[in-house]
Amino acid sequence: MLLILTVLILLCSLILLLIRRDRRCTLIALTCVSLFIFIFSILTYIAKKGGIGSSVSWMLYASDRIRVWFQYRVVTLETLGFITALGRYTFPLLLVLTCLDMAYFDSALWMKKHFWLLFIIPAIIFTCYIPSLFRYLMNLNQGLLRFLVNFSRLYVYGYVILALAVIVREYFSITLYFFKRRFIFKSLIPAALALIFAMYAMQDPAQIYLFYHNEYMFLLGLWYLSPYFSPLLYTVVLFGSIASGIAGFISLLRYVRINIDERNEEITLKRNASLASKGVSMFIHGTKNELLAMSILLRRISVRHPEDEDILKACELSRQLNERLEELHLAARNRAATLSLCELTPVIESARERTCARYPDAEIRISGTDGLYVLADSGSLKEAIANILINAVEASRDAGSSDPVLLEYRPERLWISIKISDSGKGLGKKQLRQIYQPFYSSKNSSQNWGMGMYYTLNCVKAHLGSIKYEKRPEGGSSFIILLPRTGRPLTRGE
Amino acid sequence: MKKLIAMLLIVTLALTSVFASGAEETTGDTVRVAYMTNYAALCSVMAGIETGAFADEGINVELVEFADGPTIIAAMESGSIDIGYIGHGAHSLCINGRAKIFAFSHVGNGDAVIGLRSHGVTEDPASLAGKSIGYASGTSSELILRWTLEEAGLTMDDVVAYEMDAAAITSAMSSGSLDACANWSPATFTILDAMGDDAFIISDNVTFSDRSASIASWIVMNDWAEENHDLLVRFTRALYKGMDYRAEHIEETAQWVATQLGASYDTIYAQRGDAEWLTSAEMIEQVKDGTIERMYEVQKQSFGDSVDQSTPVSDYVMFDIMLEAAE
Repeated sequence: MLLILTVLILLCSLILLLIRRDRRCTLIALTCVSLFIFIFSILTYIAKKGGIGSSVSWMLYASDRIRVWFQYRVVTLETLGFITALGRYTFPLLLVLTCLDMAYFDSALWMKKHFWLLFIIPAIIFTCYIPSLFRYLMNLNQGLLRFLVNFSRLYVYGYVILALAVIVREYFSITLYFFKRRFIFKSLIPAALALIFAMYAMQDPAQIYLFYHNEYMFLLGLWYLSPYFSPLLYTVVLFGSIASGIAGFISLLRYVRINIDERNEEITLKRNASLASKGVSMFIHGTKNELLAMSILLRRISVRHPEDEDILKACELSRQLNERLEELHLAARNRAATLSLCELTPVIESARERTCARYPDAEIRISGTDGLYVLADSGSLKEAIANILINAVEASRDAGSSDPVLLEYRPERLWISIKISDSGKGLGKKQLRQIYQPFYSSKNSSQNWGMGMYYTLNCVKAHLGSIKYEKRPEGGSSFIILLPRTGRPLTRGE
Repeated sequence: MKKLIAMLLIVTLALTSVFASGAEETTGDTVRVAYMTNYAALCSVMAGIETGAFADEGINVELVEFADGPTIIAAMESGSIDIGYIGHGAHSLCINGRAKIFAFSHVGNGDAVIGLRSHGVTEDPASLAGKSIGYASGTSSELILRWTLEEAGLTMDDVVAYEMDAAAITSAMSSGSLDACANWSPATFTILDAMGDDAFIISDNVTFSDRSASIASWIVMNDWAEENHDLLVRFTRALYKGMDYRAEHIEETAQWVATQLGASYDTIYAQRGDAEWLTSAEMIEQVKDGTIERMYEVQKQSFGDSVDQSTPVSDYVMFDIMLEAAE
């Protein structure tokens, strides 16, 4: 069982790496590889050493045939011990690096910057366990061997605890619920790997190098025959490792699935957007000249008949139609944003003004950290925020709520978050999948092209950001725009 | 996901409780017995189990497989095993006070150095020079290899020695990856069977009978023996019954052992020649006339400086238990 789970976790991490070739996935895959190497060598050792009952054998190997296969592997004790050392001393380091990669609190950032420091202890220990050097040290002094064994255990468990501490610290430093929830799923992967590793990490490679050496067997002990492992506790521990393995595997699968879904949605959206953009361009090119000509004609007629109100109305309608077509054209075409450092507060204020221009009586409550700067095209970012604000106002009104729309902005991990919350009815899963599609609108109004959220998403992506959605526990929706932080928060004086 | 995690926890707890309470209810005393995967280790105890000798003594035997004697002693120290079977090598630990012998098993001839003719190895140990040899360091396998090399005036530096475990040596020899090896029964039989005429024995325990007695014994921890004196005597009595039954029913015993090990009957039956098997009466006679004590003395001397030579045999061999069980 344990073997099968470890293999599945490894496969899943490799699939994840194939799908998403970034640093985090590489670290996760390397951590899984080192865990696999360690568990594989430990299972080989246990199979060769014996002493486990049939139920434990089943929990570890799933079948006796597999156990015997491990038992008869042709491998010298030096090689097996070295492979064990490789897995045992690389895993804690990779685990810490993986957890640090997920963390953004100040100490974690410092550690990330000085990550090479983390390599020193494992490098020293691993070197000592190179077979020839290990043999030399062992012959030198038995006390040295005892020190090496204890020091390496200290390193192994110390790093695992450090990795888990990083996860816990990071969890408590996150303030956005969306990030917290997502972080829990992500942190299950290293947590499950750490648990599986920790249960078998007492096994020192020295015990394999000195497989039959009586005098060392009692010095090093046989961890899996430890008196602390009563049959009940041993069962709990084994099932605990299996449960954590399943949890880790599922969270990895979930992570892979989210990645695949996001990628598929993005592809679909791009395809639809491309079609929409072509369609809109053709439509506008086909109608714009005639509309302009009609506007000019109407203006001439209005000059000739200034007292005719119907003609004035027709002029106004023509102007509005031209404006809306222009908006549609702007929304549909792919524009490259020109980013420059700008203060966020004025952008948000102008987005509110833009919203209030449409809904003068709308109540929008803004709170946030002043003095934040972002790299942005302030005009298009204002439009993007305003689009969400307008949607929020409309959603609250449709739900008959008089509560104000809330806008909060603050730094969050690697991002600056702009969270817009309404008191509407919220969005269903199906609706949520559709809102970013061009020409999708749930509103029965001639004022909406259904291009607002599509435009907003494109705009935020052009700012190297993303949009997240969460349902508010008290009812309503929250859209969170995440824009990259420019290093540490910049303040007004800087 | 929360539901899933909760379900996993529930399943874990449920399975744990099932496994914790799932053991069959038995009457009498349960004794956890460690064995090694060969006929010599299992024949008496299997005969005792199958004939109901242990049940008659109110003992339920739980068998646990191990690869070597020192690991069995380590497991006994940890409390996960009550009684164990050890081969020659692990006796040094008994001499040094780690465990006590409560029953003599046999004098074996299971260790052997095997060579492959096709790899240029001959009956002359000198032909091992420069050859790749697999051995299990720290065991009787290493001992017999060193003695064999000494016969030809060679040392370990004159050969390419690979430290391996017994199972890996068997696989490596059977696949022709090694030129020679030092191993013990039943691995030696497996190799000889697999390689046919190509494989042959260069030396075995008989070759060095003047230097050592390759004794196998049944052992317990000192504390366990003191706390479970009556149980130990009953166990020994059942073991004697097993030994006596084995003497008369070799084929049937070999079949029981083969079933327990999941091995072929022929392989197990071939191991009947690994030792001179005594009945309980013959053994008691040899205990009484001091033959067995002398054999343990010879064995102790063969360990040289690695053991305390001043330790009397009677300090670590409980002859009183052997005699009490025979009454």
